[in-house]
Amino acid sequence: MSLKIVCLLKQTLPTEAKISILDTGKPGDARSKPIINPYDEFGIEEAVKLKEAGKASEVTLLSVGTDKWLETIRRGLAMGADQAVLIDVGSEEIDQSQVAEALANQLQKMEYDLVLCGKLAVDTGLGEVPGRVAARLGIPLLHVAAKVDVEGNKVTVERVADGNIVHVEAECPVIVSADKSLNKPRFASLPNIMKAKKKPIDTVALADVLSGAAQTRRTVKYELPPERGPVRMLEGENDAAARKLVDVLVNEEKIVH
Amino acid sequence: MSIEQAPAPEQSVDERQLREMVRDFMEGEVAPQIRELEELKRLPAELFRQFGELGLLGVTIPEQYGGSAMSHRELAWVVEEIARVCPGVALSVGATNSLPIGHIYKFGTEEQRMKYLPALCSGEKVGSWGLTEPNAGCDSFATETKAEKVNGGWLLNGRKSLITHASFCDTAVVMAKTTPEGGHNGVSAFIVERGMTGFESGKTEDKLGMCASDTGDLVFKDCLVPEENLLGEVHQGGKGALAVLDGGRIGIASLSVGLAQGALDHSLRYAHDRKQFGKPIAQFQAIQFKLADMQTHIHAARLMVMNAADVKEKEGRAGVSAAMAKLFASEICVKAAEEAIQIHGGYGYTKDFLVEKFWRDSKLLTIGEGTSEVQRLIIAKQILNDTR
Repeated sequence: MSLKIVCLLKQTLPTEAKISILDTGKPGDARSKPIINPYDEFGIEEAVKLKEAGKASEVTLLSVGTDKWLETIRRGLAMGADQAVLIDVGSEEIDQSQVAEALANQLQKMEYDLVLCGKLAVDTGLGEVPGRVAARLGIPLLHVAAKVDVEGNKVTVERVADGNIVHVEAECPVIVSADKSLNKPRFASLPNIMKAKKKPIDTVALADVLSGAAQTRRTVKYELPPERGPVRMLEGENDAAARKLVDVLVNEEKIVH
Repeated sequence: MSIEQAPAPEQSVDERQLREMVRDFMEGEVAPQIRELEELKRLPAELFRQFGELGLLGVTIPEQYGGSAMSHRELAWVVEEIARVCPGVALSVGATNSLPIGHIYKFGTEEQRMKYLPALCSGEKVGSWGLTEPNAGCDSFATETKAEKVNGGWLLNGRKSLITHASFCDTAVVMAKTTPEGGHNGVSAFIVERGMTGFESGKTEDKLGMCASDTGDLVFKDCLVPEENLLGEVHQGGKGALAVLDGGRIGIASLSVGLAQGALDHSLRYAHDRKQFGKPIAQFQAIQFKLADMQTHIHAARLMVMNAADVKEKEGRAGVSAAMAKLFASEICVKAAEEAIQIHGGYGYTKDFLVEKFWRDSKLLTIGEGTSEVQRLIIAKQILNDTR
């Protein structure tokens, strides 16, 4: 059989962005261009590879975001996905629980055998969505996959644990979250970037896939971590420098007692 | 490297996306191996194939021949973004697009296009283009390489020099004299393939810069080239070569803009980081003026390149627009590379920083595809003819 794959895609800032608290009160970096969450990108690469290997028939991208994500979604299409669905939240503010609910409700309206996504998004670092979506859909989650194999209807993943590698399998439908060692995402070629412009992106209104239930938790505020102080270089030969270091640690910084 | 160009010519979404793709690839895959490429003194086959897979070798060639079917303007952006990270790599990629691929596409028969272009566009095969000879540089048509009509084809004898990819090219487009009479009308173009008897690579040059791209001789000793490998009409290869060079000049001009931008990128980073007299050197006017001049020159050169590319797209030839863009861009690029070293001070003179490489690379650009002096001749001839 040939699988229908849905890849979850979140737009994030690049990892090298210089984060500050913007006028909106939220963290951001106006000068950085957003990217596909790198972990989601591993998922897309894996899906496209499965399609190229003849094990998948179509790859659909699914996002909960705004129309500001369209260019990023096109980049996923340029990697080789066939189409995309954007659940447009507009100016609504929703949390991971609601994102997962919207994703799960939309997935139920779509045909899918395998859902691929990142194990977490690099901006929040939370990793809630894969588990929440799996729970809502009542399907198995193969979490933090370092390797994915598909044989017919069976998906096997390898996960790197503490000092050992765990092999886990499940029958489709299944959700697999990608670890960073899963693959090396391709650079989209010029012809594929052009082809991506013609691929369909459907927009779904948030209200169609999210019930009116209020948020059960609120983000109170964002603040930047304290700045690191300047580096102090201690001069002198090894012996003298070591004595000075002990003096600094014990008497000045009072880190060692 | 996330420094964005302050003012930039207006760009379509396509142009922006392809620039980003090229930049991501160059910074991710090529930047870490720049010094190794310089040591190797040529582009590895694997990197060639990667450029082919990305669709960067036949940017303006229609899809049925394996190209990316984009505009000359988009090709200019591609070459610029490559040069911004490694000018030597841009020389190889730019030359491949404009010269062997450009020539076969522009003058080849349907059969020749189908036979050669897909493998050259995919990077499976490496192309070169041979016009220059030991005694025919600026005076390209003092060509001494001869092609003599024999049964079943042409017998080539002679030597081409300073040829990009000479040491390992699979497919070479070579200009040779087919009638003893002088001038452009006695030259024809031929497609020569590696493996043809009597065709071999000669010495490889040890160059000042552009070391990531190899340069050397192609040698022909009674090399029998079959009739079907005559490219374009017989005796018309000279005019053909001039038309191909026209595209090559836009390539060198965009390479110059990219190199200058790369020199500015490095300079901006250094100026922010380097502290003297208790503050970043970026706060000193002496440095600021250099940066401002570099940026201004780059912006002007880029606008000229984009204009030449647009003219080429519309009219098939860019003529004086290409010559002016090439002249101006290459000269400001040498200047920008020099200022980048000056901004870096003593460290700029060491191999710990890349600006010394950019400076060495830059000098080729006022020479290759017609020296600055030759560009001036072309420009002067045109304006004098127009006003006679």
